[in-house]
Amino acid sequence: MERIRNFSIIAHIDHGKTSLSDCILRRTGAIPPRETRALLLDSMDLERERGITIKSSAVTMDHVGPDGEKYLLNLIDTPGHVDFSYEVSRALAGCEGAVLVIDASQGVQAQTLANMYKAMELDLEIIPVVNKIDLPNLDIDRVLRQIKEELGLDPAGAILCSAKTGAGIDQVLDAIVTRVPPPRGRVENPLKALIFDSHYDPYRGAIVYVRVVEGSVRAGDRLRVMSTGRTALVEEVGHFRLKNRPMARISAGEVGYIISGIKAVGETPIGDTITSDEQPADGPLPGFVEAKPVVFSSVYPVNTDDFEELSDALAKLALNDASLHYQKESSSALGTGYRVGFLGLLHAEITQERLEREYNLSLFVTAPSVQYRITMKGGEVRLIDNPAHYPDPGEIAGAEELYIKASMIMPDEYLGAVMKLCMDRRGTNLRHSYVSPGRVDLMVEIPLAEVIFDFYDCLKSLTRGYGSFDYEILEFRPGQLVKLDIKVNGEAVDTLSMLLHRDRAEGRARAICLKLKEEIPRHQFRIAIQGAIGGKIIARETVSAVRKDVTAKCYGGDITRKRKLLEKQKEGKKRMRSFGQVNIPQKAFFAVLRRHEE
Amino acid sequence: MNAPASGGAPTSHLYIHVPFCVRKCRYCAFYSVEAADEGLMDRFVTCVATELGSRRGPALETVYLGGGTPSLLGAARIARLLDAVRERSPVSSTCEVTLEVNPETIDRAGLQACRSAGVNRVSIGIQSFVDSNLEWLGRIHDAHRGRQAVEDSLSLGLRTSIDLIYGLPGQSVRAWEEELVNASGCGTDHISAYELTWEPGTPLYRERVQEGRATVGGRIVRRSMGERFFFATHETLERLGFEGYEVSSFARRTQDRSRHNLATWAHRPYRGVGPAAHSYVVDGSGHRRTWNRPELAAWLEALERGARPPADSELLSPEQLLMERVMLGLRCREGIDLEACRAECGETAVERLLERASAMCAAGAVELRGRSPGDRASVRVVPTLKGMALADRLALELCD
Ligand SMILES: Nc1nc2c(ncn2[C@@H]2O[C@H](COP(=O)(O)OP(=O)(O)O)[C@@H](O)[C@H]2O)c(=O)[nH]1
Ligand code: SF4
Repeated sequence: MERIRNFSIIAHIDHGKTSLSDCILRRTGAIPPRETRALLLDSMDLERERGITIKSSAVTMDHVGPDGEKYLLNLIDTPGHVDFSYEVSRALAGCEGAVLVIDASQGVQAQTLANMYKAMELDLEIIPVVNKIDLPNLDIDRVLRQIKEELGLDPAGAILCSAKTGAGIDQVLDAIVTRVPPPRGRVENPLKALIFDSHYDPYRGAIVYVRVVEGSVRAGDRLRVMSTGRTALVEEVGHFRLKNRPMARISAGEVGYIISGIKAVGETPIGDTITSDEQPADGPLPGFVEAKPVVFSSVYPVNTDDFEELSDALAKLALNDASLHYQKESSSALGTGYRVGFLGLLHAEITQERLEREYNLSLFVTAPSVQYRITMKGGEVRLIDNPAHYPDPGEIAGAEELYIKASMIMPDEYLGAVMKLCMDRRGTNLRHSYVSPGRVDLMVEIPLAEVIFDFYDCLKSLTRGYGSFDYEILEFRPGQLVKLDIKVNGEAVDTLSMLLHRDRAEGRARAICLKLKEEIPRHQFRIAIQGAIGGKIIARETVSAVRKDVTAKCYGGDITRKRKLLEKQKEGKKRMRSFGQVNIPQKAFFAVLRRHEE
Repeated sequence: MNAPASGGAPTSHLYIHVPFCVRKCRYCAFYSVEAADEGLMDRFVTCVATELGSRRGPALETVYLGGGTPSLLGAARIARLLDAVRERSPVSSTCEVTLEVNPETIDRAGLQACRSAGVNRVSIGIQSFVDSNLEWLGRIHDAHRGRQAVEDSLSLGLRTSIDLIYGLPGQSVRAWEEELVNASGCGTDHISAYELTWEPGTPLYRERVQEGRATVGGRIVRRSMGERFFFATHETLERLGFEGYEVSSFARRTQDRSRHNLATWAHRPYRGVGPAAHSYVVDGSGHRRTWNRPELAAWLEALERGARPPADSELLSPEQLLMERVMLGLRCREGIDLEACRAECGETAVERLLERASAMCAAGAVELRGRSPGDRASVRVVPTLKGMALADRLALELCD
């Protein structure tokens, strides 16, 4: 155990976490020189395209330390987006140290700080590494000063390196050996293994990534998942090498995998503790929180015949994504689909893309909604994310919405504009502090509902791309909730109903009515489009009736062309959803409900 | 796709496309070439004769010389054309022989010669009785010349129709109604009144749509008032004693209707010769539409070397046949002939259509008319004026 080092690499996006991991893996021979990172870390297409890591993974390396001894280094990779902040913290909980990568040309950024705080909370040894020193015109001293002033770390301990040229990599490896403490824990104790990730393998079921904290586990043991009490026979344990390498057992201090009779990753939630069924531990490891979806969307197949395929695809995705929650629902406009809960917007987007790309589905995804907590007059409390389930307002005693604490770091010249944005979005408790001369960290408590649409886009444009955004979920707070219905010729279009804050209702209703007016073709009769709260109309538009559409000429030479035109229109009609007597083209729903549209 | 052997299919309606014009009008998308010389026109006439083939056909009910500007050929060539037709098919005195005429290209003597050659109906491209409109449209004649042509034609005892265009930028509904009164006043027995359309490939389209200009030919283009013009046209002409028997066609009496056009709208087979001419052929291989490519040179070249002119065709499925019958039927006062639909497309398709049509009756868009009450077999779906105006969407609904 004295020769094991468990560490993570953390960084602001693009500062070189992936490149540095690659470099280290190659230097230690964990991957052959010519293989790319695609093989191991960051292995999903989507992740590479988006330049983010979605799921953590791990790899074990051999390394001879400066003392000439052989060490086992376990690199645990962390996801790099605010939506996955819990996963990051669980991955870090499996480590004793963290390499904090800072881009030499960029210096300390928002995520540098946020990640460092997470690592500090878990008492990790932090090794600051200034990367990309091969770049020209660098002000390394400035970066070192930031390390001292903004991070509060000793700049003397910072290592300069380049993941591109390989300079300084040996020093990084040596520092991991000499500065990261060895794991503690006793092999004789009852088993306590921290789940920091898991993935689904079609042949083996759930492959659970663990850091063994106490005790040991071997094939043939009976394991127990502590939060649920689920037990299963251990089929295989091992280390992460280029491929999984089975071992006789894995013990306290080690990082490895467990394959058991458990199939779905949902049954091995991240942060949970695995123990031995025969000789259980007295309690779980600290820090486990059940992953709760905070953002909800409805997902419908564009072609209603594809519902079965969508069901299949979601089931398959859920095997590999413990945080994916879904429930069947139906809409008169869109047919049968699912209400799906996500950890955040990115999670929602990635899931949609995976469904479309990996399962070849053409989907219609409604605008995301948050969850509201509604207390009924009888005292009953309901969590509602779907307007269809909104109770009769007369029965409601009070409603609450989820707040987040957002932290935004930016050059101070943008502070005024961003503060205004936050106030416009009902932010409260604004505070800011200087993280370094000229750069402020603005903290605000703000309803989640206000940030799920386009907040991040607005922030980026207001700060010309220099603003960063990080958040954590706070709690439910009272809010003035209403249900907005959109009616077409008096009939409510269920898919377009939404729950939102009273102050937002009118603006949103107007925008939707206007959009629909543009998108709904004229009919033989007038069409009234209305936004309503209960019986009260708060926005209205009219599509006038068409009285003539026939073309003037249709001689012998025009017939074929004319018929083809009608055939094309007939095709187009198939993509309409009919509401009462009104045909609404599907693209109208898209236009109204699309994300980033307000 | 090349046209199969369509030459001999027996039809009693013949269309000859004459692809020559003095100068292209600014709105026109018909196929025609400018500045044809005598030699080219002679070659054209010879080639029409060749394309007609040597097989003898059934007696013709209608012959239509359209274009382009058939009157540009001159009476002698028109006579040669009609002789060539008669050599192959009987043309009785009851056969409707229409010649399209541009007022600028023919005088009374010319019309008289055409009449002697067998023409008995003239369709005159008047387009407007207002000089500034004619100029804007790029027409070569003026209002005076137009009136003269109508007078000449009528005085020779020819059945006379005039074409008019409405919905020009800057034109008011009221000014248009005045033109209709003028039209009626000049004595014509048939009027084709069209809304101006911005056809791809025309100078108007280029300026308005492609270049997005707000002003075209010195006139500001506003939102189309086609709806108002359409109903004003039908109402005014009805008041003046014309029946709107088709979306854009108006006749004083039933016998003044264009029998040739009615035949195409009633989905009867017809034969088209000349470049860009379309045919509708019904024979053992099914129902086919074929069309010569709009290329005069290639057409001439092929026929002169004894080959078939380049053409394309398509075979119509029962659904397409139904769609055509419905879309054409809803444009006409005669409505949709369900008996014919039943024969071509089957009982179930017609039943479905009838069911939808019944629903439309309530909205006042169509009426169901049988030869006698309760006679379901002879029922026709007949559009009201309101329905005719919405023929395109009604056709879609009926064929859904
Ligand atoms: N010049 C230079 N570029 C680097 C270095 N390390 C990473 N990069 C580049 O910086 C970008 C971001 O690196 P990546 O490892 O994907 O960052 P991550 O988002 O933190 O994983 C990529 O274009 C890398 O090629 C380095 O040491 N020198
Ligand atoms: S409108 Fe008639 S005359 Fe004018 S170019 Fe077209 S075919 Fe020729």
